[in-house]
Amino acid sequence: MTDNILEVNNFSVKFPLMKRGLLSRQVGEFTAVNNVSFSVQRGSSLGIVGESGSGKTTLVRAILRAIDPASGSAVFQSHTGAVDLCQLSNKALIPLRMQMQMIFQDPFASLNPRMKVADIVSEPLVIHRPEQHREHRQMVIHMLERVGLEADTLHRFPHAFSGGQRQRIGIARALILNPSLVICDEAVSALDVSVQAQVLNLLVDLQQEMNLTYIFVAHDLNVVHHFCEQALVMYHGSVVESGPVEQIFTSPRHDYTRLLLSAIPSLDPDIKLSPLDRNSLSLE
Amino acid sequence: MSIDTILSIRGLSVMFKTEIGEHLAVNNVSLDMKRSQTTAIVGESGSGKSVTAYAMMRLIQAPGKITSGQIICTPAQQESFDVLQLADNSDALYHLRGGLMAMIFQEPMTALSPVHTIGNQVMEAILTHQSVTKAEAFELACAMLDRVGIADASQRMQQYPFEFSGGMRQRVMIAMALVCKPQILICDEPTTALDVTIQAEILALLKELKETIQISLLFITHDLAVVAQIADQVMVMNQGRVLETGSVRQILNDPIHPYTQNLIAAVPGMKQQDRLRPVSNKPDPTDYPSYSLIPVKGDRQVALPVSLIPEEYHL
Repeated sequence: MTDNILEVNNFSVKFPLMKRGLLSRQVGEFTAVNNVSFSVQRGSSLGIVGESGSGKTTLVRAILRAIDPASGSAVFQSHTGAVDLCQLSNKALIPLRMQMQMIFQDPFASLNPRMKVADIVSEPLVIHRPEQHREHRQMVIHMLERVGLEADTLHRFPHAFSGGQRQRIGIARALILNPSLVICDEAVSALDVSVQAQVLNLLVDLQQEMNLTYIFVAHDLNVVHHFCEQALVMYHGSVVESGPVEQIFTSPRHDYTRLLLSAIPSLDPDIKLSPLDRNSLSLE
Repeated sequence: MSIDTILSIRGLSVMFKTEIGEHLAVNNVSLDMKRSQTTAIVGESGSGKSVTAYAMMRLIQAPGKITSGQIICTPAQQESFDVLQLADNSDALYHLRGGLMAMIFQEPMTALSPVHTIGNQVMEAILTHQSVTKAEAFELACAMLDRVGIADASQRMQQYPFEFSGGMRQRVMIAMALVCKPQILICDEPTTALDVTIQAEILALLKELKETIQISLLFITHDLAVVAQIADQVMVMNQGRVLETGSVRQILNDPIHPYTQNLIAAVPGMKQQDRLRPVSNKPDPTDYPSYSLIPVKGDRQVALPVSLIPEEYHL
């Protein structure tokens, strides 16, 4: 039997289209995520790729119930057993939140500029483990060490750090509760290539140490190819292709995947970029 | 200086005064831009690549200061002059910014004004640099937007930047930059904020424009794959210094400097490899001491002591 930490079935997210004005009313709805099904194996990494507006971020935010899905189920294997995240009330979700954490794209926007690093990283502990408050400081120092930051960073503000260091702070905050599922929403997109390589290596190390499962949202296909075992390709809210990364990259079945792959610039100056023409493809 | 060099930087240094002392953001940089070709500056954040470009347009503001160097510009059918010798607020400097050189920025949403229509912003550039009527400026702006691939240009001129997608905004930026027919176009990470499919479209547009209107491009990026696709000449910068220059094939296929080799190894490739090799994030100054560039075989330069340059590259 396969050990799937998350099983998502017929998952849809819709946004209301409102008529503006004094008597605002709903005039329709926009389907941002359309009937998506997939599963993630424990300890593996799943990549979600697609262009902006394809619904990849909306999908992961709805799985975490940051926004409410319209229909479908997302069955999560928590420490206490399988639960459908879509059926739970907000209150019942609270204890589950510490098992599912998120790392955000923009290391400048996702850290409160008025909080010190110690407060940023310990905030999840204050919320979820207030009874252990005596040990918080030690746990924070330990976590910062694991992500490669020294203890003297504790009392500094985010502005004092470079992009790569800030992303490490974001990772420390996500991992301090010892989650089992970590969602990385474009976690390395804002970073330089060499800093990106450091952060990707760190994520791989932490995955092995802490037995983490990653859902890795990215538009950089090379990063997904390097980092993930399985991948979903999303286009206009639907999954157009899914499977092992190697298969998607070597023998793509859907035209949209072919378009994405053809748009990746090669490091070899003699291999010229020749993206497929969007209009000649059957994308729907 | 050979005739086909449009811009030649010699010994440029830019200093920033900070609380903890003076910092040389650009340290004795020399660069030759060939006419109608694409020169790329590659480096990590903080390597001084953007500051070099800003210095070319005299856009360095306090606490920064250009402390030494020459920037010799030779526009077509004109006398060459030193950009750094132009007086502040002079007409020549005014003409240089936007007229002779233009710049495209990384983030088109912050570079465009959110409270002015696209048409207003493109027309502003024309009205600043050319003596034309508003109606003529409107026509010129429409034609240029059409040229960079914005359909229905006269309608879209009335719209605001938030009504455009990221790729479309970048096309507007390109139109704004090109509308006064500059001879040098500086692109500061123009595709970093874009999706891979949109990036491919913008790269194709820039390439096509370069070939049809004979413009010289200075391309600043940290993405080596983009460099491979668009550049003719490449300069690798780190810590404000130039470490290696050469043609795009020389730099990417056969790098000499260990830093360049590391930078290429840090790119996640299409081949699945076990582990990326990041460049150390705390560069030890003793790793790459300030050797000056020395010429090596194949019309390229590298900043290494002669003893560390492999024998086959010696002149």
